[in-house]
Amino acid sequence: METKLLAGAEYLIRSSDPDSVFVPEDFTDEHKQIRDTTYDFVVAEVFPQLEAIDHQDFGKVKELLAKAGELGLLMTDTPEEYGGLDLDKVTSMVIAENIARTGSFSVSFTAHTGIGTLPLVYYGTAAQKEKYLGKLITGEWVAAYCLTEPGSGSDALDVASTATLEGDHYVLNGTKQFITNGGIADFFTVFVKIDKEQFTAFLVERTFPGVTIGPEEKKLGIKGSSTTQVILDNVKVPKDNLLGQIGKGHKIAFNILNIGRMKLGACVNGAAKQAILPAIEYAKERKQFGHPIAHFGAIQQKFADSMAELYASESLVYRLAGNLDQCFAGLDKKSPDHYAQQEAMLADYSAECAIAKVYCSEMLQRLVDEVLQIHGGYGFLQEYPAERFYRDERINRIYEGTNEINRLLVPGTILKKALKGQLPLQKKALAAFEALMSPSLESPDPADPFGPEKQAVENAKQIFLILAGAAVQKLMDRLQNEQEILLCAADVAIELYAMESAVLRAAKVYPKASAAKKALYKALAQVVVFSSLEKLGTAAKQGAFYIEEGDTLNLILGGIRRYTKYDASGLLAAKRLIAKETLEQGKYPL
Amino acid sequence: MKILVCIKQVADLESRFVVPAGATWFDEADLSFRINEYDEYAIEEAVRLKESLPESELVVLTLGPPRAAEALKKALAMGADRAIHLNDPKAQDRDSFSVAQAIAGAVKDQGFDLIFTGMQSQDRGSGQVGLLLSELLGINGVSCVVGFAKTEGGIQVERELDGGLRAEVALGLPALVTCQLGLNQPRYPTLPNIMKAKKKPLETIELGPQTAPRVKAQGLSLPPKRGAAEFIEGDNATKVAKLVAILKEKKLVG
Ligand SMILES: Cc1cc2nc3c(=O)[nH]c(=O)nc-3n(C[C@H](O)[C@H](O)[C@H](O)COP(=O)(O)OP(=O)(O)OC[C@H]3O[C@@H](n4cnc5c(N)ncnc54)[C@H](O)[C@@H]3O)c2cc1C
Repeated sequence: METKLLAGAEYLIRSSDPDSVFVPEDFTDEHKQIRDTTYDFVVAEVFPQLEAIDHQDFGKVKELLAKAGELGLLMTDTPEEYGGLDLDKVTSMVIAENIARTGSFSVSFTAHTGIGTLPLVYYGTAAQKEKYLGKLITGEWVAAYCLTEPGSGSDALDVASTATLEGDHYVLNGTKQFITNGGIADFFTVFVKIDKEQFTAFLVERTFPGVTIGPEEKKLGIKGSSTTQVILDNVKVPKDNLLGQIGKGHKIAFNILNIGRMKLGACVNGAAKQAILPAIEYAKERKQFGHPIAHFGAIQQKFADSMAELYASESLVYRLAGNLDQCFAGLDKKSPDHYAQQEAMLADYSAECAIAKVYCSEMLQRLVDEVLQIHGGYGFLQEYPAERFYRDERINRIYEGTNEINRLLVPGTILKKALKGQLPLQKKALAAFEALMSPSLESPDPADPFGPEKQAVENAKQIFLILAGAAVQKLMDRLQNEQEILLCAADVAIELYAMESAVLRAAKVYPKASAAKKALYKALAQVVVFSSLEKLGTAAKQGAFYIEEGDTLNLILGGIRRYTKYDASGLLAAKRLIAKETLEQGKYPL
Repeated sequence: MKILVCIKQVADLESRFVVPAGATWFDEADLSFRINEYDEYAIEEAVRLKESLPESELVVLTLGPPRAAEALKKALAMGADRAIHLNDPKAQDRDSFSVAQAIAGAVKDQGFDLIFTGMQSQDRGSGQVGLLLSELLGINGVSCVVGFAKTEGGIQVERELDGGLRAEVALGLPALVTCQLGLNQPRYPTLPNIMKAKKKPLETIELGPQTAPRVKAQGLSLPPKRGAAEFIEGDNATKVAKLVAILKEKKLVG
């Protein structure tokens, strides 16, 4: 197996060595200490204020952001020359995951450190960074990101806000919609069109005359995060506050979203780890028919399936973050175009970032639903925490690009890479079709404890190639308008990345694990592979019916049948083991 | 001033402990480890003292297996200047005297003015190592400290006694104090300090095997499970009715 770093989307056509992926079990002592500091901060400082925050005590939010600043939690992605720590992406994920245990507060936190601060880090001039970064990493100032408008959501580049040059400053006009931290921010990255044409970003201070903030939106969830309109009425912005290049604002908007999508994955994983806690406690306490409900298989299966999906989500996010860190490690931090190089690498992995966003947010969706269901009628009451987890979850499938937009991005990016010759998709797809004509030879390595799972992953790659190959062959240029088909391909690619990450992690840590942990990793990998394979098989079949008919359709369906074969003997025992470990440990069992 | 703080890494008390048959220590596989809680107060007090005294040096020491280095790194991040790891993969087999003896051997020539330890470890709970160490070094020792202040010529401490009494004690230096929970509020290390700690010196000294143990563990077992208690609530009539129902259900009355 090759050990060369996996390039963006390359996972679809190449197998990875388990030792080449980063897994949470690889955390350094520093990662662990930063995790502990973040967790201790959350428990000691934020949890006691959750109620106040949910009632929109934004003073508390600002206070806590400043405290987080004192601990250094806002400076991990900032260069050292501006007082930051410039740590790896794994560290950012560790922090995001633990902060995300706090619901609304984490939305303010991540908007500040992520979309609020990163545009300046990546695209700011030395003078701009000098002027603003110090205030942002201490939490003295809060940051917000203003892209969306009433008329421009998913179609983010179609903004109506404008800028016109008048002497040594630009005059900005327009209305920004749904701005997180709008009510508390001091600093806004605002996207507008110069002369109604050139999509460009500006750094705008709250105190610039003409900036007004709309009333707080009344929301379904994350009620303790500020969401408002930001209205610009003839705001004079100094020329020096233009961010990046004129007409290149889209690069800023999209690249910052790449990191944001991966980080959203880490956040929902943290929310999931927190949301499962009351469900475990409740299932052990609540008695019906003479037993704690945790005793019933129906309830145990909920824990098993949720924890297996969370395991896959976690494996996926750290694999991706580790992959990016390995790429960035090869760069010279002193180089003047350091961030331009990072930007190019991030863009290369935009399919994986979109996958993280979709897979993890939908994992949380199912998990909070089960958490509520385990509580029965009490789950429906505001008095119990399940209700808040249920409402707070919903936003994750809407912002940072809706899940539809992110799904479409996956095949979109992959096909573009293939067209540019960066991914030999066509060659591999042809080979996959040829393999269909020959009898099946694939059989798992009996000596490998993950033989069947690894085989299933390789088979799933064949399914993707067959489906994508058929779609391109049949529809060519028209494919980009056939969203239903693209979504099927996306689902195959998403489930594949998740299940591969889950298997690689288990295979990597297995040799050194204790006997008890070995059994748990095997169980988790088995449950993930079984369910992902079923889902991607269904998506592929649907796609096949959308694309083809007659003999070719039958050939493809036969291929899907062949490649979704997986011997999941022992599946029930595996689920019961996961449930038992979860209930006994009282938490996500890894 | 030269300050030493002695710490131990212990298993997280919320873990599920498994004692293999015939073993005298629990199985450490899959457990997570952290700094002994009492020692966190010791570190915090030592760091505060160090911060109040320019030109002072704070050394953190542990005797433990290789994993214990992680505890030292946290103490460095909390503010210690350098660390000493007395490495013994079989540290759990040592008795308190042998631990104190090994530490005394390593530090006796380093001229520490003040030594902080926890009052006891959460796993063994013998409460002996600190005071044994002060004896072996021939310096003042005082246990169970809940208040600490540096004075002109020495230190003034408050000790917790039985029944909530507090004793005020003044000591000359050099001295050793063992710290009780609640002495202060231990800080969590900031991220910049966690990263700076990476560059601080951590010296590892390999210890030979313990010779002639004075105390030898014969066995280790989990306490027998106690039955659950049920609290009967309500007015007297309800209580009686419930009690009778339970007695009948358990077939304790006819
Ligand atoms: C609480 C909250 C906080 C937010 N914070 C911020 C922030 O800080 N900064 C910021 O700039 N924005 C923010 N947003 C905005 C958010 O990113 C947008 O709501 C989101 O991108 C969707 O845009 P829209 O609401 O206009 O929906 P639309 O784009 O109108 O979408 C409506 C539906 O149509 C679908 N759809 C749209 N286009 C297509 C297409 N081409 N193909 C298929 N389906 C399509 C969508 O998936 C969706 O289901 C926030 C939103 C909320 C609710």
